[in-house]
Amino acid sequence: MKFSGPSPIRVRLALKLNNRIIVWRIFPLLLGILVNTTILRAQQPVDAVAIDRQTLQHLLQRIDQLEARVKQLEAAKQQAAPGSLPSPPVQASAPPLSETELQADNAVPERMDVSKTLLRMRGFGDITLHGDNQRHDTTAFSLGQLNLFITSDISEKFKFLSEIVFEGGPDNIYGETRGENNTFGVDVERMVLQYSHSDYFKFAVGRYHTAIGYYNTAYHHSTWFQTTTGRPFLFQFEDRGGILPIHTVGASASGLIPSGHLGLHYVAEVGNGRASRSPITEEPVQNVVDDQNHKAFNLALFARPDAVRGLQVGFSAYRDLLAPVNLPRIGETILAAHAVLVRSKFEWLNEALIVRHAPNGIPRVFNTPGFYTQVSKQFGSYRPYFRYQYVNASRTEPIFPDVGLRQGPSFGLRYDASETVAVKLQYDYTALRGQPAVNALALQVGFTF
Amino acid sequence: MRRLAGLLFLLASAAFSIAALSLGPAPNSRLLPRPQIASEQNLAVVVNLSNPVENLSMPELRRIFLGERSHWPNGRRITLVMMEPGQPERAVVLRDICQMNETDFNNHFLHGVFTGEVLVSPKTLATPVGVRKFVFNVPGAIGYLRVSDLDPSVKAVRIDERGPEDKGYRLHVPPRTAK
Amino acid sequence: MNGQNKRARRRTLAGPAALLDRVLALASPYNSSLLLLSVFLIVIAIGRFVIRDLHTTNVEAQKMYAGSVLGLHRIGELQYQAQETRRSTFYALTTSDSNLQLEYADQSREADHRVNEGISEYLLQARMPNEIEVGKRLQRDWSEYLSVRNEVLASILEGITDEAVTLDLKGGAPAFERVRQDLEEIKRLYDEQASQQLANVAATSRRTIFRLIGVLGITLALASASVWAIQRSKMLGAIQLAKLQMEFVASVSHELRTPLAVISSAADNIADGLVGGKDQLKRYGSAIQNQCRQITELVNQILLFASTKDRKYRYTLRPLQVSQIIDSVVDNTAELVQEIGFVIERRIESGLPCVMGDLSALSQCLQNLIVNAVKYSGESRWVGIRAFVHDSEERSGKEIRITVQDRGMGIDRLEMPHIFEPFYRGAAVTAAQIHGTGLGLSLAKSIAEAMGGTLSVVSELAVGSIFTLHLPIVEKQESEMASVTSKPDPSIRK
Repeated sequence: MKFSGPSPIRVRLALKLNNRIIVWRIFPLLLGILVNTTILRAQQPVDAVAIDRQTLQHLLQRIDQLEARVKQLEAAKQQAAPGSLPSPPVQASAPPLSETELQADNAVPERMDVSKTLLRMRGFGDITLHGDNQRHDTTAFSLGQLNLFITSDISEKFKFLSEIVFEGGPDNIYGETRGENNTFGVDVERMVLQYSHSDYFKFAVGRYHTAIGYYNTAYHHSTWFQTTTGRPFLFQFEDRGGILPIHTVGASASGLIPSGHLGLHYVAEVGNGRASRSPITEEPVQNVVDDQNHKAFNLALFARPDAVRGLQVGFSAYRDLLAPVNLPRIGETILAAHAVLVRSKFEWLNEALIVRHAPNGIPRVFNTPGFYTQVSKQFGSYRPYFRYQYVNASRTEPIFPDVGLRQGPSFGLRYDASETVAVKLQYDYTALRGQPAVNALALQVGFTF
Repeated sequence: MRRLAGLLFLLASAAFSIAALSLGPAPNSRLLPRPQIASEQNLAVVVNLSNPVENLSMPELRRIFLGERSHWPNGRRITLVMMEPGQPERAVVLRDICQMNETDFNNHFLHGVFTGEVLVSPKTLATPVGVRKFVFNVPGAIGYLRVSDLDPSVKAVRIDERGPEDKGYRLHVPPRTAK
Repeated sequence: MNGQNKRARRRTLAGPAALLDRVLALASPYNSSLLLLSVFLIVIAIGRFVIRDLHTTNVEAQKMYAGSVLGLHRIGELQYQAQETRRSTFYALTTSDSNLQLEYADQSREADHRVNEGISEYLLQARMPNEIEVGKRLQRDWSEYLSVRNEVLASILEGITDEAVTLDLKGGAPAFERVRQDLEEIKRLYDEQASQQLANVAATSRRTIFRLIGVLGITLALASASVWAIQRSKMLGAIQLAKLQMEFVASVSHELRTPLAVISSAADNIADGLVGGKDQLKRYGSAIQNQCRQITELVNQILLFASTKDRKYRYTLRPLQVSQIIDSVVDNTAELVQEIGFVIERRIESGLPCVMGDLSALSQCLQNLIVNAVKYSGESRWVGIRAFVHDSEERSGKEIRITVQDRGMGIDRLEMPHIFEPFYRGAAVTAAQIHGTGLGLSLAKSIAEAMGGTLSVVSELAVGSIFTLHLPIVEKQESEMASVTSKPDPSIRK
């Protein structure tokens, strides 16, 4: 989504909504939330239990139906199975076999069907109705990303994972818009071959989400998994105007660090990093060719202590060297920290990072801080949430000068219509530097299949 | 900047309050073992006889049952075996070990597979006999059975140094209802 | 020359034939017993052979069945169960339902359990080193396959199908191929064993048949020979009897003819009036009297012999003094002895106990012995009679022995067994033209046996003979009359 300049009327309206008024209007809302929490929590057990029971009954009925159907299919398959094995000789259906048949069987040992593999596919998608007060923006239905998530258990140690995403609309790379509005393109957003030696060492190669912070590795290209309608701006995809190297192509090692109840984990990555040519006319993620020999490195540490269930705190450091056109090489350092508490009924996500660009030969360093905090709580099938996000890029930021200052809250409500379908209603307020704030409202249906 | 800081402080306070209220002992989460009802049986966590593991702490057990652990100390991959939804044994495991309901459990595994953290989803079997046979056949398998369904083909592990026959054992399952 | 050859050949043939006749003659009294014994022994021998061979054949046939047929069935079952183990593993691949996979895993384990049992059974009954070696190899290879199969099943159940397939291709299929080869080798061993046992059974059967044929042939030959021998023996016996009867008739005729001739001559002379004086007439009458007495005696002896053989003669037994018997005998033979100038020397022990007997029968017995002694004394004119007590050789206690000894021609030892047979006359006696009926000794022996005693002889050619009458001593003086019927003479052939 591209942020253009607001109209004068809207500017005045936005100016009226100054920080103090916003604060005093939001505060009662928060108080109301606090008060209602107690009431709703008291009701939750009964409602939750009632709803759980209803869901359970429904699930049990559904399972019975599915089991009956599976048994039918298995029975049909079983009748056909002895004859359907392709390996010769196939004479195993009538025991005991005659001697000649046994001899014929014994002549060539039976072989398994190598063509059978265990490949699973799962799909994710969303459709959004959105509108905002930005000029030249219209209220429209948008097809979100159609995500085909594919896994295959190649062996006990190796596993394959990929996300093939069909998405429409133009790309926005550092403020540059490419592509047509309504055409669809295909991206291999993730393609990873994982090797799992033990809990202490896992190795992966391919295209993956860089382990910067928490959100980037916890949520990928599926809005159904996310509480909100979209990712925080900090963790927006590169082709949607994001400022972080969300994707990289390279190798990653991860695993546990023996630390007892502390639950320390490590991630070490090396990859092509992002494309550093600007203006960008190419894919920002260097899938095939790296524009320079220098590689990007990332090291992350996080802890999941036993003492607090669902808590994760961590730190990551990313280092790359960018070479934009007509600019000196820029050393990019991204430091991120996070503290999240994620449980089935409650989540509280907090992340802060700083993107540091240090052009070679220039004493000045461009720091772009950013953070977000997100909290949500489940009440039966409803999950209200709140997010506040902030990013402040300098006007003279050499890589993404268009970002500027952006901050603002988001309020929303997620309703799980079923196990696989979620409906979200979200209001975003985004204050921009030198521009009118943007008010946006979105209604999204996210699903998995 | 001060306003921003103040706003952040308010947000943090609100979130912390919500968290504090939410993190109180919920009906379904137990930090201490609840007293066993007389008619209840103990639910044993079983592994293959070749598995060297003898004792697991509850947090370790939780990580295993949530797929956050993928290998045993001997390098064998962990294969989690669950009974079908609706079985009381499964309900006990979800409640007392995973501290989730059915939907959350399924979503957790789906999410884990999606992020690549969880390598394999749990196997679902219809009967305790099926669980026992699966654990017997697969060296890296872990499942659960009532004490009355145990036999020498599988090994019951201790939880927090307590075996299924010991006092203070934490997993209890209601008796089976006649169909 | 031809005649000489023929005679020589006849003599040659006559040699063995004569020997055979002698043998048959010796065995003739025991024909039936011998035949029965022979048949019995032959049947026993044949039966033993046949039963042994049949038993051996039966045992070998049973062994062949148990060892080979059952073994082949066992191997077939092993092969089937081994295939089932593998197939069940494959079936688990066709489904992704864990419950169904477990069922197939169970089927595979049940089948492999049966294979293990079959292999253990085979090792238990294996005896030959090569059987044990291949059995242990099969056990080893099967264990190796099972370890791969377990990993394959685990991979299938874990859902890692590709790894299961790879494991089976790399490890399972080669291991199973080795198992299959081991089973084929065991099957081949069973086939070889069956062929060998079949050959053994056939050889045993052939041997049995040959033996049966041989033995039956021998039996037939022996039976034919036995029948021929019996027939010949009967024929010889009949010939001998006829010969003896002819000799008896001739002898009796001669014995009768001599006194009849004297009587006839005397009668002719008297009739012709050639006899003049009283003295001459008395002489003729005395001669006729003596000859009539001889004839009467001969006829009496013949009649006595006949009646004893027909068991019609009744003896009157009473206690008798030995001296009384001997006096009677000497009185009866005094005239004969005086006429021919013999001396009878008597030596009778004093105080001899009594014997139980018939006086006339015992007198007749001793008389016959004395007459024989006189007839066969040759140049010697002496006959000795002794009576004494001696230990009995046949029963406990003592007996009375009355011996009649001569110093005459003696008896050939070859003729000794026959001298007590009726009508028997030795070749030397016949050659010496000594007259007689051949009944004297037979009669004497019958009388002796009827008295409860025996008659024995000791003789040496050209030295003489001693005939001894053995009589039991009477312990108690019995005055009652006892009638005893004479026993049949076993020497009389009918």
